[in-house]
Amino acid sequence: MSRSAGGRVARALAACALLVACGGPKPPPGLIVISVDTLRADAIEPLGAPEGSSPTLARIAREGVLFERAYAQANETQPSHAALFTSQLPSALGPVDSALTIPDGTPTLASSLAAAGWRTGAVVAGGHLARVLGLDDGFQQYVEARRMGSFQQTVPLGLRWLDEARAGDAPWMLFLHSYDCHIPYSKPQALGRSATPGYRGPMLDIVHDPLSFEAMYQRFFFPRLPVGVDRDAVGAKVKAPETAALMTQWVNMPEVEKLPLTDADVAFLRGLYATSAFYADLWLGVLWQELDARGVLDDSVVVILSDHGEDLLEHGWMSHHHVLTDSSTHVPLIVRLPGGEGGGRRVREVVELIDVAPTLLGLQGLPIPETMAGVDRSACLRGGGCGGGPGVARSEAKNEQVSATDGFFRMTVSGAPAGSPAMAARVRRLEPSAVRLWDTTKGSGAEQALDLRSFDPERVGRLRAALLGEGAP
Amino acid sequence: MSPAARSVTAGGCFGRWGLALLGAVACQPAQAPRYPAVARALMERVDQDGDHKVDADEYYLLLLPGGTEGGGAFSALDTDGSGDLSEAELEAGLLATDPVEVRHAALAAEKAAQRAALEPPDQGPAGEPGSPDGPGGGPNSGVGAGGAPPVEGR
Repeated sequence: MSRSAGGRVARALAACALLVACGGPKPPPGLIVISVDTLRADAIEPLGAPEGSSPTLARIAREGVLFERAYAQANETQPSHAALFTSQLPSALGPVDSALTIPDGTPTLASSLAAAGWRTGAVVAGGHLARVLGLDDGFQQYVEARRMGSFQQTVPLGLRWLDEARAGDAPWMLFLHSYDCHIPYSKPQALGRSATPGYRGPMLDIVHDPLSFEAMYQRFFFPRLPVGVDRDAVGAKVKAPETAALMTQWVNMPEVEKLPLTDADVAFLRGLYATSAFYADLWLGVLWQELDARGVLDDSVVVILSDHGEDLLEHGWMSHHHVLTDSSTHVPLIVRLPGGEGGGRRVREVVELIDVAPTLLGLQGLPIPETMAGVDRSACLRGGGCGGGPGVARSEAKNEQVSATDGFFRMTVSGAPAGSPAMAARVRRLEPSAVRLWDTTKGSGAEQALDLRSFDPERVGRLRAALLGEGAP
Repeated sequence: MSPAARSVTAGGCFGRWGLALLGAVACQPAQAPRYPAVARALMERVDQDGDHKVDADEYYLLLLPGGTEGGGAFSALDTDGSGDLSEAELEAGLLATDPVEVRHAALAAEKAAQRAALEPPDQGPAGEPGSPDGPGGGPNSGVGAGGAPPVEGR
């Protein structure tokens, strides 16, 4: 650096110091919501993953408030984000299917902030958050990076947006998203086998094809399964609904070609997923350093969450859209306040992702639209009590399932569309053929099935009331 | 791993957004990590023998099949030619390698290999690319040959 350039820098620094000392204009407040698509809660260190699995998230949890029992309201990207943005259950927005969107005029977190004069932007990795699906309400800028892409694309774009927004006078909100943890878990090529370096089995042949992961059921891989005959609303090839039913039949048919998955195969698949989570964490590390260098962490609220988890054959399936379980709905939720205020707290109460929007509006002292059904937990973030709300988290799936959990027990009711009168009737009657109940305290894959008839009626009543949208009985 | 597969130019290795973020660091011999915590975590993950550097054997032991088709070759990451990857080289290389590009390239290479294995050169005309009976349209492929859009899960 030349002497004159050095002098300019020194003068600029002195001016900055003077401005701060004299109480000069504070930078506008900021809010960053980061959605790490498909990141299950137990894939991160603070919630049970081994040390070194997610060093950045471990650090952020030490600087923020970690909600240990946060649940998504759906097990797929589109309905879950619709619920997150609107603070409503997916079925309250419309039929829970591939066409689910945010109805025009429905208040969202972004639209509420925009109405209050905030600058709002989103950088998403397309796919099921593509603009055409209509989840962009309230975002003044909605940038679609590469479809089904990585933080590698969205983090730099997000930082670019952030730099522009911070140059203005208005407060701002950025939503940032990636699919790093989504099937086929092969984005980090050079780290691919780091969880299982000795693996040489047949799963190496399928790791680049997402549909191969959909051809697995009950520890079998069906190489001749006719997968991928449907296209969804954004034109992506997806597994046809009947494919799942076909596998449940084929699994018991000896004449059908199927490859048994060994323990080593399963460990490799789970290792791939864990490595994908690690790769996402690396990019969060890049983002974190860039935010820190800009001073963003001093004046902004940062939220990190996931829209759903992932089933890794614990319940028979790969991917996340087959069943409503802890593995597919229990997600990370960390809120870091400016300067890391109150950092390191762990909240044990059950919360839902629909609580996020009212909580963030509450933190800013902004009005919370009446349509928002979640609980404002801003007092909890400021060190107050974290109770309130039903103490039960609800989730809904496209394939005619609803589920409720109190963090210890989970009840799932199936056989009718979520939100339909037929489903409500099933929940009211608790038809044994349609209801399943588990003890989930031992973790995903170790659930213990319970007999509904002999289980604590008060607890069942609470889960049932939550599914019916009623308060505690 | 063939030598040809390993020799990928640095220009092909680095994705444009990663390149934009990492700036000049990515294509120069890396001296110090730009993101020290990230580089340290990467090294701990990839360094199998604990000597705080990564040699080619360690690197290829972890690479998924086809991983060098779109980038990620050891020679491209070893910018100082030392034969080992430092923290800085790992960081610059892995963060700048476009993972989606790599996956698509690997998938295309795999399908090309399947096609070559299934269809001898003297066979008659094949069906339409992407159709069930066409090249690349295997039972689980879901995509035909010829650069069909990436397949997405849900």
